[in-house]
Amino acid sequence: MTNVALSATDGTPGARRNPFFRLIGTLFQVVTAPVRAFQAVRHAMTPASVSLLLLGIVTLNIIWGFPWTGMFSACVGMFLSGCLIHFATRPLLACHFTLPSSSPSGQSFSVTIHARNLRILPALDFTLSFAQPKTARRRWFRRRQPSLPAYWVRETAIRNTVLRSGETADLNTSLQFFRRGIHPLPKIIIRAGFPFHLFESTVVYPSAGTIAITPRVLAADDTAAKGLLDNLGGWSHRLLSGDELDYTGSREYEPGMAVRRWDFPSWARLGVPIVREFQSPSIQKVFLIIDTGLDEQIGSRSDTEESHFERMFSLAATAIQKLSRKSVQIELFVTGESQSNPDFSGSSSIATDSESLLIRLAAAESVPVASADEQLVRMLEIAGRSPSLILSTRSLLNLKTNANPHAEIIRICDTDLSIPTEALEPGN
Amino acid sequence: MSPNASRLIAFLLFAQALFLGSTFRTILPALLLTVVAIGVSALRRWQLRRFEPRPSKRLVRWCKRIGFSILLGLTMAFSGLWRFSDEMSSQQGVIFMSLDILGHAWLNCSLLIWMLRPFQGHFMMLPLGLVVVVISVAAGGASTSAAAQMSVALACCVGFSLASQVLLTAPGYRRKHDLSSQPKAIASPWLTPLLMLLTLSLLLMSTSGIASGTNAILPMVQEKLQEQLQVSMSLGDDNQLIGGTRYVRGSTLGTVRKAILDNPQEVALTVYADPSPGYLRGTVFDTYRSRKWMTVQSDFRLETDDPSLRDREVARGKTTSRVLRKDSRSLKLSTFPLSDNSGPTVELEIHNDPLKGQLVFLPQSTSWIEAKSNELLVDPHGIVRLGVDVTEPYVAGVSLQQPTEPMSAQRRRILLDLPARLEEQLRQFASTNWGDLQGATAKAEGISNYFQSNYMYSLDLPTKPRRVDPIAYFLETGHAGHCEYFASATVLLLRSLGVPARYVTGYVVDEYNLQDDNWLARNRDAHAWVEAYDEQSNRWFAVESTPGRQFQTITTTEQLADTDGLFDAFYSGSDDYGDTFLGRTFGWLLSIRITDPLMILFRVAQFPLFCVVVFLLWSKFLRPTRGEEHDLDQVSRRLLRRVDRQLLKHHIIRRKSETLYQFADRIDVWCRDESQPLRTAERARLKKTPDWYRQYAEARYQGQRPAPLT
Repeated sequence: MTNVALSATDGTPGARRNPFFRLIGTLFQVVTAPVRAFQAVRHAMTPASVSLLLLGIVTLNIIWGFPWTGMFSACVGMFLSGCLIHFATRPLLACHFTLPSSSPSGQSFSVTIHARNLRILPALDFTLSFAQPKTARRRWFRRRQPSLPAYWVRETAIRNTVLRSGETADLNTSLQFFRRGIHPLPKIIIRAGFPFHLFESTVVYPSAGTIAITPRVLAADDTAAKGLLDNLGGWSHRLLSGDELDYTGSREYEPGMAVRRWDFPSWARLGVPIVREFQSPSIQKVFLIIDTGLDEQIGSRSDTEESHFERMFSLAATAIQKLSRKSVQIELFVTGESQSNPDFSGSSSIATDSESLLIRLAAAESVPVASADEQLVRMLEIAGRSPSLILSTRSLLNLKTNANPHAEIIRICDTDLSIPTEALEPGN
Repeated sequence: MSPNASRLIAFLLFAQALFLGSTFRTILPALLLTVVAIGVSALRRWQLRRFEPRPSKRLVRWCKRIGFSILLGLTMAFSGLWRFSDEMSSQQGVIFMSLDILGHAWLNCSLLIWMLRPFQGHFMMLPLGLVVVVISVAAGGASTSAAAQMSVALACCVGFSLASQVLLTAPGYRRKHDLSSQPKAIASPWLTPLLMLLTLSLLLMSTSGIASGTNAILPMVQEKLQEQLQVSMSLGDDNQLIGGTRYVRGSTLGTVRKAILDNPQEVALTVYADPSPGYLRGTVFDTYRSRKWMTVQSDFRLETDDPSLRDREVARGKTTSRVLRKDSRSLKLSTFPLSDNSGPTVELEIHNDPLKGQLVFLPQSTSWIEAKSNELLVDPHGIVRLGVDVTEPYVAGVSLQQPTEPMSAQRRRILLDLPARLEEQLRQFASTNWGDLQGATAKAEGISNYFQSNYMYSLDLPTKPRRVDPIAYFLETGHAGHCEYFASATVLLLRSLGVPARYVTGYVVDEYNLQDDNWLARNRDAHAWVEAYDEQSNRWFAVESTPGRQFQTITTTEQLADTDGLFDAFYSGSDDYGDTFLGRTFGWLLSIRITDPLMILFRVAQFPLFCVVVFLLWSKFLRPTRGEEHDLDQVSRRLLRRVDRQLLKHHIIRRKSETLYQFADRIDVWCRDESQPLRTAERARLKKTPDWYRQYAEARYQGQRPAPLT
């Protein structure tokens, strides 16, 4: 769990500006103040204040002698003083989050919002919640297309009657994202209805915190991904059990010896247990190379390509999980990573720290084919003769992997790769 | 919605029904309907709690909505039919009937909503409630006095704020606006009520401030507006519904006729008196210019030192409790002397229709008036311009004889003013016909007789040529006319003969209503007549020149027989309650209104109360946390101080140098000491404190919240 801080005052540029521009800005603020005030009041009006306004206008007829000065005073008094009190006590909160560094796609995770009152006055009668994802507006002549929202947030809000100056209120909720990537947290909505809900202003603060949504790990019972998993399983089995090319010789078994592979023919022939010995250690370094090269950019590529692309990351996540479970050291290369995310470039991680690798997978983006090819060649050179697994969505026939006999390429291509819909249901 | 919130909404609906019912005299059926609705709502709540309703399908929801709309329509139709039939029989006027129907329709709609949505109500109940209150106020449910209006405002403020808090946080409203929430436990159970009280107090203060400001500024604004309308925009039609001018004023020729023809059966005034009240004056004009009658003092803002041309303020005399003849209701009215007449008087209890305007109608020789007011403003012609609360009846004391009234030169000049265009024609016409007559009364009688015998009365006038003054054309052609023409021509002719005269409009109250034992003036009784000044006797006298009409007022001694000497005490200056201290105190107590304590509370006592509440709130809950001090620390320290204070009564003081454990040991020793004079219960309670201190220390060490001492 990490803490991410967000101040409600964030978002204003911190850099110092030219005095001339500051003056222009101030003038603009002053000139537009009435319009902004009008807009703020208009947006904050509730059925109660609308009723007061309308009745206030009606009762204004007292100037013609109608006998309802009291009602006029009540309507105007409540409207004006309600408005002033509301805007004077509107909460200004600084929000901090407690959330995990990453979460698998489609899995919910818990987030705690710590909202601290920055004002001198107490924050009164307000609710704090995450913004719900926008759904497609329904047209009367069209049927609503079922579409998966970007995220799901548990419909919960903190409702505080009073929050003293400097005090903190906590909101525990859960979030669920459905797409891999580095996602900003949803916006925070603060609704204040003090006093008496005559006015209700809604302030939306953009969240500065982000979360890495790592690829979904392929499940063993996923029939659509069975072929890929078999490929991956075969490669890992060969890798972990050692290769014949690394065979150095056989010797008689002695109690306490670590046995990697029995030499049954020799055992049968000699009558004593014989074990085979290999040059390569069982726990070794593995290079996992993710080819993110695509002919087109994400925005314009087809759904199938998108599906292949994401499936490739799921397979990579599965591989990382499997290998890290076997304590294999993994060096991850993702094409285009140095361009998009320089923090991760050239870094290698030990196998047990799989989360950082998954976060890198989450941050990966597609790159042009030419650039990807160039980086792949460079990565293979770095890998040398070490075992390498290359995952790609395209044909890599032109790639010269002959130099590395342990390099394995798994291509994610035209099989039924659709992600089961039940896995994407919110709340799973 | 919590049970308390439901009770609050039910109470507010009940209060609305009570106010509306008392205004339109439907208190019993309105309250009955409300009680039934509240009962049904409670029953439904109980039923829905027992049997959890299943989520309905979309089609069912749509059917429910359609059914709800049909029910609303039916409710409004029922309200309309119910009130229409009642109003038709009482003949209160179209506006009153409309208000009655609308008020009941909106109240019944609110009741229906409350029955159908017993858990959450609906936000539409807020505007409906406000409209019901406004309608009740408009129909005279509350007096127009400042105190009554303030009371309505404050009550409305409290009710609306609480209803808004309840209805706009109800689950239905929240769900609709995607605001499902989990309420958190608050710091103190009485913090929310305290906060609400504080805010409500602020709202009430601002409301009372605005009400005071409105009362102070409004007359000036109204005066300016009237001035603008009358002078700059040349007020076109008196019969338009412009704030309180529905009563006939007759500033333009033809407006009295319109008032007569517009809904002639509508009752304008109701007078309770033994004799026939006769002619009641509403407005007096002194200047004529091209079809329009004006008043120099108010229309031209005459700057003069002559006091007889300025409005005079009449201060309140004593306050008496009067039993009204209409409904035997007791009403406190203040007395205002209008003239120096000291003779016997006849009382007229006059009931205005407040919706028709603020004009006060009095006979010509009114000596005094009793009204709900603090101060009156009377114009030079004896018309009460401002100050009378017409939502309540007022009583006029009419004397037998017209009081003497000296005429200043400047005033005489005004009252002899003739339009320059007509002056020559009028003088020639008058001198030809009545030039040889002597004395104001003889001239007036001559002119009156001339019109009575030579002219015809008709409300249908012939078309006159453009740019010709209607009065000049009337005199020239001798065509048939109505009261405005006869009165205007009489005033101008009298003036051309050197007799000061003025043009008067008002009502002729001579229709006796056997059913209610009162006198009625309907719209058809609107009339215009003349008052002329007799310079020999220094008195005004009425002149009636409209054919078929004869001036009537209370002038016969027989009429006065029954009331002779009733108010002698007032004119002799003695007090009804006597001159003793007790009598004066009793009089003062009677003069206190029900709303006065409310006014004192909100104007004077509220501010210190507000300050106390603010201080309490600030010191207890809203003070910013000092530095990094946690809320837990403050709560713990408060608990410790409380227990320390309890021990302080027994002179056991915790030293700064000793730990809580050491202090607990010391208390143990002290409690075991049998020589201490303690009662058993007290000793038992004190014995608990050492353990509490130890538990407190442990809890603080573990970062937990200590439990209070029980």
